[in-house]
Amino acid sequence: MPIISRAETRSRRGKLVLLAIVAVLSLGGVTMVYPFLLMLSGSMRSQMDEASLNLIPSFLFSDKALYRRFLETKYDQDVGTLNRDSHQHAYTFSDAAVPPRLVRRRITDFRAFVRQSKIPFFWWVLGGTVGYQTTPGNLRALRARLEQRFHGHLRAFSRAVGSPTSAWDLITPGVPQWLSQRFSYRPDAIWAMYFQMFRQSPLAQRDILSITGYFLQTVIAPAYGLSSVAAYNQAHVRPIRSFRTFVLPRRVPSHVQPLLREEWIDFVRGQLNPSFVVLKGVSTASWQEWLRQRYRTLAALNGAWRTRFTAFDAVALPQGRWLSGAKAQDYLAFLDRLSPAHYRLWDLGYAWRDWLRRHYRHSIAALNAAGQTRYRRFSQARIPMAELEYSYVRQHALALRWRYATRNYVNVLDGMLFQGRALLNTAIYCLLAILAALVVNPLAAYALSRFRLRGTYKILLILMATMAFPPMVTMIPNFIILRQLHLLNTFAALILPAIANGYMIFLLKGFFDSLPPELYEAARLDGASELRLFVQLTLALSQPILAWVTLGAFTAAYTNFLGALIVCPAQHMWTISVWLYQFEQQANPPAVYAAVLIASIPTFLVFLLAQRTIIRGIVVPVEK
Amino acid sequence: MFWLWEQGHIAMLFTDLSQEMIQAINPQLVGIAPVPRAPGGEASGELNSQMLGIFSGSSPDQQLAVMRYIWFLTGATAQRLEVRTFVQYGFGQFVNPVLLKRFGYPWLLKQIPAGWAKAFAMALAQGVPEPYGHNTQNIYYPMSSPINSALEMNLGNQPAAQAIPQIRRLLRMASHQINYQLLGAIPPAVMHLRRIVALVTILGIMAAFIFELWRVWRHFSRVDAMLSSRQHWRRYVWGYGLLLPAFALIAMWAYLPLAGGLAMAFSHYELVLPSTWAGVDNFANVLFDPRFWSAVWKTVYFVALTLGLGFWPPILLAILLQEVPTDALKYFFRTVYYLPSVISGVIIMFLWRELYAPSKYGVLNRLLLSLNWLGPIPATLVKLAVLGLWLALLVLLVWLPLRMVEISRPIKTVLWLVAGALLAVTLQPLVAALHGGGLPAAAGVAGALVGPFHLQPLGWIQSPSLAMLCVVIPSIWAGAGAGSILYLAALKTVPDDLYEAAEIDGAGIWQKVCYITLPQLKFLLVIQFIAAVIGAFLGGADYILALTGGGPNYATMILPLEIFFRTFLQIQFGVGTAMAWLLGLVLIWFTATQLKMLSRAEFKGGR
Repeated sequence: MPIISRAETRSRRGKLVLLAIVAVLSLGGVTMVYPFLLMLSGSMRSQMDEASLNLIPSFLFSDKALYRRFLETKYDQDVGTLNRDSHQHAYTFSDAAVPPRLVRRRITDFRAFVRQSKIPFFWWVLGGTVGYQTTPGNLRALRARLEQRFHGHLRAFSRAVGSPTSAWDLITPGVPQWLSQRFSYRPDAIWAMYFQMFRQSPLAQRDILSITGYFLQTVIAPAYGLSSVAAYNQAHVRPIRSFRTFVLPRRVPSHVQPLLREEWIDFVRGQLNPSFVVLKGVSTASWQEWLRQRYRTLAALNGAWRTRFTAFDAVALPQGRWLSGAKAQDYLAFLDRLSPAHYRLWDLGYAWRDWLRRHYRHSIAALNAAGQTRYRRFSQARIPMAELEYSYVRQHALALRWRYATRNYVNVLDGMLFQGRALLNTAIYCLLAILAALVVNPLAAYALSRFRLRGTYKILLILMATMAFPPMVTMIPNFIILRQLHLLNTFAALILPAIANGYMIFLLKGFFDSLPPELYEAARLDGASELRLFVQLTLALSQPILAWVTLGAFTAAYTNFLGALIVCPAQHMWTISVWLYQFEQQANPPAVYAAVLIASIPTFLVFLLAQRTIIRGIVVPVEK
Repeated sequence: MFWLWEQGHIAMLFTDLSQEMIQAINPQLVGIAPVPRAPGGEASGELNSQMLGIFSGSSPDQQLAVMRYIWFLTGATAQRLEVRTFVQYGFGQFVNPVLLKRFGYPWLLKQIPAGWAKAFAMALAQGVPEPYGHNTQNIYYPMSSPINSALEMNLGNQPAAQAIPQIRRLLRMASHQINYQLLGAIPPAVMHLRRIVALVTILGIMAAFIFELWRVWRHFSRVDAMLSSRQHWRRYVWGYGLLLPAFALIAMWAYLPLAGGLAMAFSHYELVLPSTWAGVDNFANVLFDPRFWSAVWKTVYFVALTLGLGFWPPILLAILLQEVPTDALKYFFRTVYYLPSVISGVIIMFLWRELYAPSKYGVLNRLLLSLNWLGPIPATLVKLAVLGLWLALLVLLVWLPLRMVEISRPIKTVLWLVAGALLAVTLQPLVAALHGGGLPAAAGVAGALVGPFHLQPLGWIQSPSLAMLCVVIPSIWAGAGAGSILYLAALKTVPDDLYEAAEIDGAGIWQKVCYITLPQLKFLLVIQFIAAVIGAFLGGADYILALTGGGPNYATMILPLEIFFRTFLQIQFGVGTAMAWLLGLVLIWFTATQLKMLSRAEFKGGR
């Protein structure tokens, strides 16, 4: 610190000035670091809070925020699914309802119900298998397990699934729409793995489908809207207090409620998957007779259903089994012919209430006492899914927080390291660029410096003149030349245009000029060859300027995005910059922040290593 | 903006009706309404279409295969499959109702909210397709400029009699520009005049260029004559041989493309069709293009801001960093200040774009609006402090040239002019108030200094007056640390005994900096300044593209960005290259000057 001399630092004024300097630098440093911290915290967020600018994401310290983040992942970032299956009307996941208190008894009852009942697979769905611009945990697990099962052989997997897949990270099963009448699925390897994962998943991660919610979504919402019951109550005979407590009756409403009855029948016959409709008061014989009339021969039935029944009497009435294909169509047609009085809706909610009735022996008081609820009828009892989820979240808070905070980093590293060759390409490219720059430029500078050529400065002018032109001018002709030489999508295309840099040659020449000529004469006298003079004398003494050249070449190569995109458009030749650009097009901002932070680590490391060397010995031009 | 709508902070959003938009919204929560008609009943929706193309360089077999795919994709089978997949996966209510009816899913029509079907129908009935013709890739830029100008001039709030002639003028200007620039519908007489002017200009520039080149060449010949000496011919061979790789590389990858670029500037360059010779037409159109000159003016403004605000932070930072007491702290601060250079520039721009969000939720606006919470007395103190700091800066600008003898006369004049301009800007509200309302109005303006803040959120990059300033600040912020490295090394070359001698003479810190440090670095400063000028003229395009895309109504459209737009977005290679060559020829002079100075330099290392 030459400006403030040592003596002055001892004085009070000197100390004050130093303190002021450190204070100003710290303030400036904060503005340098603050965006980094923003990016760091942003990289841990999800779509729900991606625009929030607090330094610490709230899910890291607030259980409520963590619960909502869990909901966002579980319901596949679709707030409509959350609304349907939990009977609320949230606009975003940050508005989702949080259970006010946890009553253990409700959860234990529900777990007992699940243990004791046989719950068909289509009554609920595994959560977190679909992400919008992101890859949730269960989807990654599904892909990983499929890859493991097929030992990494994509071809075998494609054959097993029946459709060509070009990469493991393109497998996207989608959420099964069991409720929809139009949904069908063909069992294959993906479905098998899905069901296996489902069986092993904790209860809190399962999304229980609700016929009532589906009814509200598909029938009530388009006609009356769901934000207020006014329109609904105006049209219907019996008003309801809120959609939250509305439960679709299991049986068809009587003629006292004509509109609701009509809507109910339309819904069951036209929207709902027939697997959710069981029949009461209809004999198996009538079903079999109807089938006999429809198909006439057993062979036709077996052909259409792909079964091997030996007689029409062997065909059972489907009661709560999954129906698909021709069987579903036939059952639907059968339903159409019957009176609606025979229909009974059957889903997990209704089964739960049945179980509660049996368990509490039809005593609503006992139910209320045990669960601290205030139901008036068993049909009002709600599935305690929110409580289950919240207690699961509380129990696994640390693990969930870690998983959510690192999700973006995991996805980015997956893409960067294991899919494609971005990292490898960039490493090779930077290495080659540095080596080439360190060979060509010092050679030219050495020639200009030591050989006293005629026209040294004219040559330098020629070498530096092109830097005056905007890069746009040379980009397209460069591309055309490379294409004609068939050098596109090779490393040569990336490196060749940028190896020789007039300014670097000039700096190197200046540095070489500043080396004392006596050294060279002494070495000459000792019989050193020209090569020796160059490598062992010049280069060895020029470490600072060479470090500067290295830093410059590395930074230019690493951050070269537009040039790399133009000359190496093929995916197998992408560098990290190009990959980042493509990634940014199809990923959400938090993931992009994570990717950027990871991509900035090499530059930072190179700077840390080169810093000392550069500052220690770089030369600057001074007037003669 | 979209975030505000997603979080429920605003209730209405203006967007296009497309597959992606429909999939992103929830029918139970969101309604759709068509764009209202204009007061005269004109339709105001726009229809966009998707275009599919085949790369002309592919083989005939490939072309046939692609054509077959296109036929399939645009046929009824593909449409039916797509609708069926949507329905099967439960997204049936998001499909266009027309398609649902056509492919036999009438029950799904009940699930679609009423407003949607109406919006679809109205959009198809009322919508007007985007204009298509020669050079109309970005037609909406020139089409939007009269609207943007009208908004800027606040014509909507003026009485009709006053506003309508101005609107008519704006529309005339826009249609003139589109006719001349995009469609190329220029009368032959005008074209002839332009060609003559262009020819004269080019010849003039070439003459000046060749003259300057000859002068520089002669200067260097003299310099070289002093250096070179007679040597063995073998050494010459060695020397030129070692030089060959670098020379050949630059000749091939810098000069050859430049020559190719020059050929492009004189032709109507087409990517696929054969190019035709255009003579000086491109230059003619460029020289008479108001957008070119506006870009030149904006570039000068940009360079002035960049240099005025961004040249001295690295120096200041280097001086401060040098004085830090401990080595560890020095290392720490150097690293911290280098951090922004570590992340790639475009991401910095995206980050700053978030910070500049014009709503009251943007970070900078929140910081600004937090000042509103100050009580009257602290607010007055802050205002007075800021005013005091500003006036101190002006005083410094005037006093520095007076005291420092080393600064040459032109630079002194420039500094004084800048100080005068800034003073004028500062006093302008007061003068305007005096002029308009006399003493009471002036008192009112002065009175605004007292009392609490009543700040409104600023538009930052969306306000035409602030946009350029907002664009310059991120690159200054990011470049301060990296730029200070060179100055840190340079500061080490200043000998310590100079400082000691000055101290014995009783110099304070300020005098030491002014009279020892800066003069010792003068050479480096001048060279860096010229390099900064060249860099500011050439660079900044990708940053501005990321931040404002050319700015609110071309407010930040600097010349490199304009070249980028012409070349890559409007695919007018010839015109873009002509502009680039004009810019490059002007900057060659700077490069030559820089090299002249560098030839007088010797290199000194630090200790």
